[in-house]
Amino acid sequence: MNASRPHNRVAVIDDSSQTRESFHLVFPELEVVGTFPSVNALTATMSPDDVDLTVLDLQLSRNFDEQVLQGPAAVEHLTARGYRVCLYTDERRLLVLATCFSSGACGLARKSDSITDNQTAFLQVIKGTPVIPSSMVELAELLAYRDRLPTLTERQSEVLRGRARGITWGALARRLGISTKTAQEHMNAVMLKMMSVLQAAHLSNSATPGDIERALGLAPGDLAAPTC
Amino acid sequence: MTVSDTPLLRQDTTIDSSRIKAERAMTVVLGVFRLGMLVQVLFSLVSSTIRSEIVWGSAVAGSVVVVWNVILFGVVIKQKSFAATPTWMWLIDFVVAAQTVIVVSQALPSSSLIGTWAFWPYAYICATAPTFAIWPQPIWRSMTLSVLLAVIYGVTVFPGNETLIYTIINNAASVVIYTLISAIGASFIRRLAQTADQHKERAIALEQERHRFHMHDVTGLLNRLSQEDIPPEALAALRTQALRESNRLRYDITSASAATPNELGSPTVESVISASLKGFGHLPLEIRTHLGQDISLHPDTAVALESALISLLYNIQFHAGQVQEVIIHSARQADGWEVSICDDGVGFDLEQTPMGFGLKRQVIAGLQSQGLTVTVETAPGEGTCVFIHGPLVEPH
Repeated sequence: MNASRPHNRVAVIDDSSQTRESFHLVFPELEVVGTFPSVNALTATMSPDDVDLTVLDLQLSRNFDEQVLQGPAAVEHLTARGYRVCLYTDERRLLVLATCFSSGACGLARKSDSITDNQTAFLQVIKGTPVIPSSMVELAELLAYRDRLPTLTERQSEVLRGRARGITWGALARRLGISTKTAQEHMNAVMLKMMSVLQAAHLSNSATPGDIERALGLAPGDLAAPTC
Repeated sequence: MTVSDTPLLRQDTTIDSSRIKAERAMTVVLGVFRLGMLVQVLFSLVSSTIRSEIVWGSAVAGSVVVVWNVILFGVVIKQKSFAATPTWMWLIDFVVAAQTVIVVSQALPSSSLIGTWAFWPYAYICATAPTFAIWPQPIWRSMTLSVLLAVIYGVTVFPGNETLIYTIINNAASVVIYTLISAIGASFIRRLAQTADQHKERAIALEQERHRFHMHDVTGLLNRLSQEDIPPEALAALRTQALRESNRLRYDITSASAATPNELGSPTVESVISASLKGFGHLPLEIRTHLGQDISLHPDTAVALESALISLLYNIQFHAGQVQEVIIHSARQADGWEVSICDDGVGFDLEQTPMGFGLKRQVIAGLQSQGLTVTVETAPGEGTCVFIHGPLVEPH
């Protein structure tokens, strides 16, 4: 273990051998202690104490092999054993993401974002700060609309509404007369409150969309895939 | 659907077709009906034995019925439906039903043949005949067997009960009517299931076609990028193209089929957004319309909104190199609806840079002519947002 980076030990689970082989080159700030093609390969080799973060690709089988643990089931399997999980995927479907975070994922780094953003996200999760992707802003807005985030302050609600519409940080800060940093802090608070709601819902990885809507207190059809 | 969503191209062989499920559902319903009747028959036989009124002909016929039904239900449970049982079994089922009527009617006095549970075979054929409709056989054969059972019943109970002729006819007709109802229901359910299966196959075929279409360019590009002899000066253009193809592929795969006007044929905010996005999948789009579902629009408003959105998307496409994200958002509000389109591009100073012809005439003027309000918010380095507000209307 590298003594200068004692808390950046990362295990990578990805079915792509290229991703596994190049991960340490792409993210030099992370100490890659192991790369694995499957969840079981990691749990058979390393204990949660051996790694500070498990970077998990959501899709681990391209052949729809039901024996391969993947998606929310893989998250649940790892978090139940004490691994800290950060997803590494471009998945954006709210139903899937809601279930992953409800199952204990601590963050998500989008593969379509820049390498710098990804590395920042991994380091943030290692430090214990959740990283919730911007794709989930819509879920937070939906929960707030259905009064499932009652503790939001007026300012947090304004920031949430603005970010859900895609207003940039700079424009939003100017609009509300606050600094960009303050706006971002308000948004982080919103996301943490949403995460608490998701974790309290204990969504099963086999839950149907209807089950998830009921568990989150949403109306039927709220989380159905948008048609555009 | 599970949370992870069934992949579009996956044909899961572990999922039964609608037709198989329909056969099993019919088997359960008619099987329970028939089992219930069997329990009543057994109760009738046991109670008559306890009262020492046992009629041996009835007991023997009852035993045959019990043994046959144990065999029959054993096979049905194993095969999971009547439709999957061997074809010769329907014949035995008919013979057993007919023999009970004949044997028991000969063993009982004629006065016990109408309106009493002593002549339990009538109840048995009432429960048996409807299941003829879900055997693997044509409807005409089910109805013929049912009519034959009704005739056998009528002929065997008529002697000694001539004064009850209308009751006998009604009872016999009931057997036929039960079978007819069962046959009509089975036919309807089977057609429904067959239609569902056909739609599913059609959807899979269309989805495969869509994927083949979208993969065509991407595979070529990936192959090109993998080649080691690409001139370095060509890499930038290929990377730009790769990003566009990546956006397009993600949009095509994650977006559902295009939204259509609502049940009344009225355009909706969703259907307009969906229509306006055609051809812009290569942009880094993020569509957030969960709060804006089922908002009806006047047809003229829909045309203006679609035209405005297309103009705005063209404008974004023109500056695509500087845009990382385009978010289209819709929401129902207390006094109407809102559609917004925001990008995180360079933006511009509204006071120093006048809006172009497209934005001014095609977007703002076009929307305002329909009574919609438009707000443009932009500043250098802070992207551009266009907010469009309109009133709620009844489906047109």
